[in-house]
Amino acid sequence: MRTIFAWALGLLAALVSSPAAAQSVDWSGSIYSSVGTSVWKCGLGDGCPLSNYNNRNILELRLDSELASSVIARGEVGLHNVNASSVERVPDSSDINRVQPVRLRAGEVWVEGYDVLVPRFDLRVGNQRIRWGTADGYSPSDRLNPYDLEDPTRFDERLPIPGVLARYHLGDFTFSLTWMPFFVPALLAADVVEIATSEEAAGEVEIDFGADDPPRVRELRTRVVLPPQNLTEMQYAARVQWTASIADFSLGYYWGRDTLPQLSGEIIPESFFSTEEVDIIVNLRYPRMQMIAADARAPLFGGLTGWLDAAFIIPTRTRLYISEERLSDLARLNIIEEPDGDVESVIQSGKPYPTFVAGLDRTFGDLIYLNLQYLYGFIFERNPEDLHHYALLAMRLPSYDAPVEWELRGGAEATPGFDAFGWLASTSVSIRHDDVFKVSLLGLLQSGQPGSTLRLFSLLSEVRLAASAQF
Amino acid sequence: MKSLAFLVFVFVASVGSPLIAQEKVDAAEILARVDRVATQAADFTARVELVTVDAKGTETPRSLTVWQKGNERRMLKITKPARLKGVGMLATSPDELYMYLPAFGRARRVAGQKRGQPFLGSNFTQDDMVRTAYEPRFTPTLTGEDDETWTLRLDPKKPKNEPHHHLVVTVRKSDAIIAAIDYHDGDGSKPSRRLEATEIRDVGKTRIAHRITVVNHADQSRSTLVLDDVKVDTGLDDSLFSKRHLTRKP
Repeated sequence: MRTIFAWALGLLAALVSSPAAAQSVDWSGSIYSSVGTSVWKCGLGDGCPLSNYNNRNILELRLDSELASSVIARGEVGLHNVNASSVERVPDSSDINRVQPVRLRAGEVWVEGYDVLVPRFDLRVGNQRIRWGTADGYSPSDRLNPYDLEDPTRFDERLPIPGVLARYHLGDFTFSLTWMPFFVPALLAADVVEIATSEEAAGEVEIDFGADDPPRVRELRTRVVLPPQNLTEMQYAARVQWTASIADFSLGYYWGRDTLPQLSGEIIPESFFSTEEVDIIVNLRYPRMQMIAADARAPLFGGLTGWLDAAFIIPTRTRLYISEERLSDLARLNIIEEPDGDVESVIQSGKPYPTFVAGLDRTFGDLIYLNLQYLYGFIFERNPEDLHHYALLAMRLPSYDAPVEWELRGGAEATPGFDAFGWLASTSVSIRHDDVFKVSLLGLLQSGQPGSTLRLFSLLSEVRLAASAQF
Repeated sequence: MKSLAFLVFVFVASVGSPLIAQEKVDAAEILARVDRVATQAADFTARVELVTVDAKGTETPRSLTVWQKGNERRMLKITKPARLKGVGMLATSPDELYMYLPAFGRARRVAGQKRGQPFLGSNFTQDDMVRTAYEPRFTPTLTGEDDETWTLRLDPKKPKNEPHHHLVVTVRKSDAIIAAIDYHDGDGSKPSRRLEATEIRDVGKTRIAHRITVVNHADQSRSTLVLDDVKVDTGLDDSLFSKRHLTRKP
């Protein structure tokens, strides 16, 4: 990551100092500050019911430069101060990085050439976001870049990663090839880590040790195992986009990794406190996956716009297992009976599955903008039998860019057998002053019955006051 | 959302275009001339300052760059304010309309029926920005005439497809440029908005209205669109009007 920082800053400096860019450097940026608190369930930290009381302050700077008539460049850096002090020992109190952590984040840093070598061939090199899909908000096929869940409610945010994007435009078609030489995992807020590593998110993790009366897992500790950074770990994608008279279509293929971690590999019993309790260590990995993606978007009748955004995921099989050898060790300690082979729990079956969003939106005069989407399969749902149904409604009043805006969102979830349900509701009011300064008050509540994904996300229910300005 | 370039084009005429003010012409012929002179320039590029002053006197400025070629290819990009910078709109045909939001990172196709919606929060509507020709959409009636102008009432041929009940259009006899439009909504009894085109100057061989103002009668708010750095017939390439260019830096 340090390399990326150096790269980002170096390119920024080069762009600013470039004589060719002297007349076309264009600076912009934003300042964001928020105070929020969880409201629904107590998760991290103490002090419920107002748990996870937090403050985020972000300064982002961007420059765009037209280096030549057919060469453009972009550089972004951000300073993120998330006020979650990590003072654990007295000496930590003198360490500003623990008292008031600040992160320097590289954003997009790339150079793009148009008509490179041949007409209509464009080449972009650098840290970049390559967005697939056409749905509003969460897009199932937008999987090339890792999730950026620093704000755990923004499932549409992605981290830029190093890559090369080559595009060739031929009439109504655009062909693109993407090469991403390094794997970068998703950025997860602490709340999301808790959700991602929970048994519910990982699937039916039943660690029964092959015994009728297994010991209770007192503590499950996880270790992250990143894939090695070598040539075999590169990721690739290819896509063709077609602008037809009635609609826009795209078809793509991605070969890479799931950027969200999964419990996977051997379970290692670590310590025993009695014959009834055991601590274990398991690994979190980022398994290989392939994706065939397709989307379409078209104006329909009566002012409606419709879209379909689908991904056919071909995952690899992941499992947690405890070896016969380790089970024998437990048996010798009289914790379990003599084993009969390895015991495993499948996290991801490896069976391919579809996930998609179908949506409609329409604006009703000045009054209201409406957006309705159906989502089949959401984040952390990774097996064909685990895919839930979601109906999502969003509306904004007024429909146009106004100084005062009110947004309402609602959603309902059903498990595959319609035997458990979840729900979400959010509202925000934003006031913009002098076209620059915006203050928003946001409330988000979500929960559900056991078995629903929104129940997992109830931890993210919050009230937040935010202020932002762009310049 | 579509481009405003055509609105400007409506207020364009060819310099020296010999319109004979004194001859007797009927409404259909006048409207045909309006459409004809509005499309004489092959392409058009300009920087646009759009300022809306609401009833309380608060000003909301917007800066844009617009490109148009022929009747159907239009593109605009917002350059100010910062929060909207990079937002772009592209129309390549009446049925192909795209919007680019930098934060979203993708150009997206949208329905073109949002025509009565305000354009960038101004008193201009989407429909003001996209009108490609009056003749196919309206039936004209000559309702008045003086030494310098004709007044036409334009009734929609397909009222269900139009955002207005009817229009009353004032056309300059000298060059067939539209000098004013009164928009009648609801039951059509009185105008809801009035558009006026002024500061008509020559750009090369083309005459262009450099200032266009729309007043909303309901709250007396006012939006003014001022053109700068206007260029016509520069030979814009068709390929400019593509998603590829829409997503480029403004």
